[in-house]
Amino acid sequence: MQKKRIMKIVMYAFLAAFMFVVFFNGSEKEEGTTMEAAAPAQEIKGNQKERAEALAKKYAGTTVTMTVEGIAAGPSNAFGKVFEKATGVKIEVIELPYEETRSKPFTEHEARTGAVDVYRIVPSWVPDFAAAGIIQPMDDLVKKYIPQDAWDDMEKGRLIATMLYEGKVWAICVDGDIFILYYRADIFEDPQAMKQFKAKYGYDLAPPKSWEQYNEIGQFITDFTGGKVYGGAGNRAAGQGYFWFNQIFLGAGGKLFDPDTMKPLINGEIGRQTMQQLKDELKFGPPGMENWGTAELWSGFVDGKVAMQFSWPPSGRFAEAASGLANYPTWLPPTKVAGKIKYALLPGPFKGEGPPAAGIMGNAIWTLSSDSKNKEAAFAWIMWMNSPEMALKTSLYPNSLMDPYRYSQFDSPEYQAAWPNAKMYLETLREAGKYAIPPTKILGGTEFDEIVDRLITSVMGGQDIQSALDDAAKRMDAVVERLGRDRVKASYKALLELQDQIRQAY
Amino acid sequence: MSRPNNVISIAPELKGVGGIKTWARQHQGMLMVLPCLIVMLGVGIFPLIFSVGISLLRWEPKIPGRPFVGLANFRDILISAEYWTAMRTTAIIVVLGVTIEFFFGLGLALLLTEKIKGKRIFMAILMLPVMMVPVVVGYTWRILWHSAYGPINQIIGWFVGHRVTISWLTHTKTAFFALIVTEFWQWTPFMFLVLLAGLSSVNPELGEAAEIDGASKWQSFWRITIPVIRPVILVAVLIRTLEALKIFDIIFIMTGGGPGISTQSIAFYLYRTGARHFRMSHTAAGSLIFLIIVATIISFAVKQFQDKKGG
Amino acid sequence: MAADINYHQQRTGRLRKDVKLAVRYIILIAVVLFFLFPIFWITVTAIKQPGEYYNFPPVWWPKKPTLVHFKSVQTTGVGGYTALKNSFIITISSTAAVMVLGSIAAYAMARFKTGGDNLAFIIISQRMLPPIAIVFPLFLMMRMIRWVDTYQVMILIYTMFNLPFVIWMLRSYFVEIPVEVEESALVDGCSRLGAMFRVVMPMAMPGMIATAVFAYIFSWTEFLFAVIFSRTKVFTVPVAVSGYFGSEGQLWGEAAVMAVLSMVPVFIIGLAVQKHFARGLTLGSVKG
Repeated sequence: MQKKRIMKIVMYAFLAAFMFVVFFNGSEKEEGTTMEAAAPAQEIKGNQKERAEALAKKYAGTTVTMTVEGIAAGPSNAFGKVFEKATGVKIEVIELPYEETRSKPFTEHEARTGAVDVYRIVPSWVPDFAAAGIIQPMDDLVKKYIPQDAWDDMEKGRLIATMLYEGKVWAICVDGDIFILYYRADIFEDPQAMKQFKAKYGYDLAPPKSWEQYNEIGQFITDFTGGKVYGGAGNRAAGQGYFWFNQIFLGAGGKLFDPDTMKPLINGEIGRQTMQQLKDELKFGPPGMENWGTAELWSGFVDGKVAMQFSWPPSGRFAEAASGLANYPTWLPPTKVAGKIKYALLPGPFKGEGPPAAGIMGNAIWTLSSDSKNKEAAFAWIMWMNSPEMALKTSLYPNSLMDPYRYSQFDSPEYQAAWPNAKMYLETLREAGKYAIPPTKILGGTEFDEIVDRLITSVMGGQDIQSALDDAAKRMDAVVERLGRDRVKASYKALLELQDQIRQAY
Repeated sequence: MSRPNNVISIAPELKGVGGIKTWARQHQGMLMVLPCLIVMLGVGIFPLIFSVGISLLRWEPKIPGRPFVGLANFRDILISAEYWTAMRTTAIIVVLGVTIEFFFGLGLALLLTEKIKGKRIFMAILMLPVMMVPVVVGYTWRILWHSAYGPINQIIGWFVGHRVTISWLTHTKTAFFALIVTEFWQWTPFMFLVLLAGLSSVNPELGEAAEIDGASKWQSFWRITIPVIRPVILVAVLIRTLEALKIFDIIFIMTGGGPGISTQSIAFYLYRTGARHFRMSHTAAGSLIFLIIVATIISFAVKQFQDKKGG
Repeated sequence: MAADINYHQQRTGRLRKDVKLAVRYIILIAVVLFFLFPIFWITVTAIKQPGEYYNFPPVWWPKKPTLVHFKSVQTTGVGGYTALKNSFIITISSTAAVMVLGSIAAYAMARFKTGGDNLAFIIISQRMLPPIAIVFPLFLMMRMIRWVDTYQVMILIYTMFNLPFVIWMLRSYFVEIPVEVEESALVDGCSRLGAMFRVVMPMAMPGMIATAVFAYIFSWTEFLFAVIFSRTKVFTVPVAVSGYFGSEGQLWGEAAVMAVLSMVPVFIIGLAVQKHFARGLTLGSVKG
């Protein structure tokens, strides 16, 4: 008798919950139902920073909440206080581990909490976030408030690759991450080394123009220094290896899909050569490189054990421990290579000649939550940090992971004086924009990157390259199928258009 | 009348007397359990029903719409090779891990019930591994197992005479070994402490009486001590198994499920599909299938164990 | 003659005993070294200089130990000491709550067999559903009552999580205690609850302690719910420590400091409660 009663209660509860779930999910909250102040009657004046402050002052007393990755939160915390003093708008920073900067926006949005106004994410998540309705485009706000000259001050390659998608402005760039090569000039310019290299390979020892040259140089340096300095290193451990794959693959002209049929092309010739390259680098790389992540890579680099590496720009700054960028990171060994590093663009082709390639991997962008109850104040904060005046400050903040992305930063005398080779650093970063390759900025991007990551660990774990590539292709196809072939096709088309836009901008 | 040990009939002398106090007395068992039930079911029943509900939809924010799809999600899970690979991986780690942890824990507990100098320090130290936050455990052991920078390879190198660079975490078989050792390190203290507490409540005079009657120490242990702590053993193994089935952190940090997907646990798989890919319905269906499998196995095992207990 | 044989037997008997004792100690020391090694490693990491984390050969003891991380842990990331404070508040409260609720329920289930096996199974089945499936619906519930990012929600969730396991553990320890002790107390005029508090619990003290310690540990080390339900106010140690390991850097020193500080209270508790774990200490009252 007890059991029957319990059964009844459970059934009713089930029914109620089911109805609740259906109705709850059925009623969508429209985008943009936020409190918007009436458009200001008077004209908006001043540079971007001043405009941001003027806009924010209208909302003095309110709070803007943002999510950010913990280790990158320094500038947001520090300048948030400055912003509050200047405008009366409080900035609350939620610091999260990297993975949660992707899952928390999702949870907060699906529950329609409206608790967070600004999400700091990476460009490859934009299509997924846009499709899920987590973020909203900012075109109207941009048109209204951002002055043209400040907009044009942003380096075009990065602007297009990180901020635009399907013709709209979905994000504001605050970080100019791009992959370039960092190499030990002291070894490259050593007369003995140059002589021996030329004798062995027939061309001058200089930053490689192709991956074949990269391997030859790498092997040579490892031999030349008797294993004290390894020719080259990169990430292979699970989690970030796919950036390295993408850099080489896309740089050599590889395409993830056939644009018409959406058949994955990763297991084609370029994919095979890319995996082979990733494997070959282990030959002259440090022992245990299959385990290497960013921590090992940068530690090894500043410790003088690696002659060539490519990864994010902070590695160049940290290696210099420049006095203008004080407070050296607490987790890196003291740098032994200050003053010895020079910079170059990464090779594109595997062999022979061809344009260089600079992958925009990772990279921090600030987006506007679609549930934000404080839209304009949130945009004011984003705009303020993005402004040319603040961008320079944030990128010079100690241990800042925010890399230069504005022409004014590249040309800044203060930045150029930060260390002897800083000017070359900035020029290379600027030049890299011309050859920028957008990240996996397509619907399902996270899943495709994960498949590539898996591919790399499989091969590192012993699986043969072609079968691993074929498995990856099969998985990618399954994802395309699940998300809807036409939708992914359209998204991929949008990504290819971004690529063309970058080429045409220069 | 055969009545199971340690069960008391509730206040038989009050039968037939009225009033709320006596009603409370008669139902005191239920009343004592009620607060817990309210907390657990109150907070726990909605998520369960919610999961069942969305497992019947296709709820994936990257795809518009939330259509009703019946059992399609369950079908996807049942034919998913990745899901069952993860299930197998989880089963291997759990069975091997829990078994080894149990025997070692029991052995340690027995060791420490005797008079040993420095017992205090041993116990306090043995409690520490479980205290470490999983993230720290993961990253620490990741460095320990590191092929170039890890002390484990260094120590092995001392024994073998030359430098050793076994890449533990990037090859499947060694990764399994590393994961099980790490789990063992972290959780044997749990077994140890639970069993030690159980052994501490056992009356040594029972064992001594048997020994006077001629039984060996081994026999007294098996025939007398073990049956007394049997409920504690069951609980220790059960709880440890349930926790081990959810293994996530060390896999996430040490191998990322790799190489490929060979060390991916069920919890890691569900985390990926849920928190990374936002596939809510798929994750719900996967969780429910997991729940059904675990509940079936556990209830079967528990019944077996409890049947053996005499009345 | 017989005396000689007896003496010989005694001597070899004693020798065997000594060997056994020595073996026991060796095993114990080996075991302790194994369990201690990673703890030693992380403790040393807390005082290492930056750059001594990824070295060959690995650094076993820093050249110049430093305490700088103990300070920087508050200013980096979300604030280490704040996280510790939050964790303490949440963990101690939820452990107290779960022990109170759980011990009463466990007693009922041990002595009165309340609900029988079915209830016990329903209780433990709460722990069989993977947490990832529960997170979002719970978040919805808590959001409705505006409890996100509060202490209450964390305490409630951890209590709910630990109850099944606490009830099962305590039940098994209570069942071990023979009924006669309680019945004699009842005959002496004790109420049921009084018997529980004054007789059964002290006798099951080792079990109570073990259970409380593990409830504490589960609450302390839980990550998923802590990160989803906290924003800026109630983040706990696991959340803070996870944030130290990022995409472009790993703050080993700070993470190690947090790990070490987390272990201190448990270590002290471990030393303090050891006396309860001696065998048969609590059973003296059963005589006669």
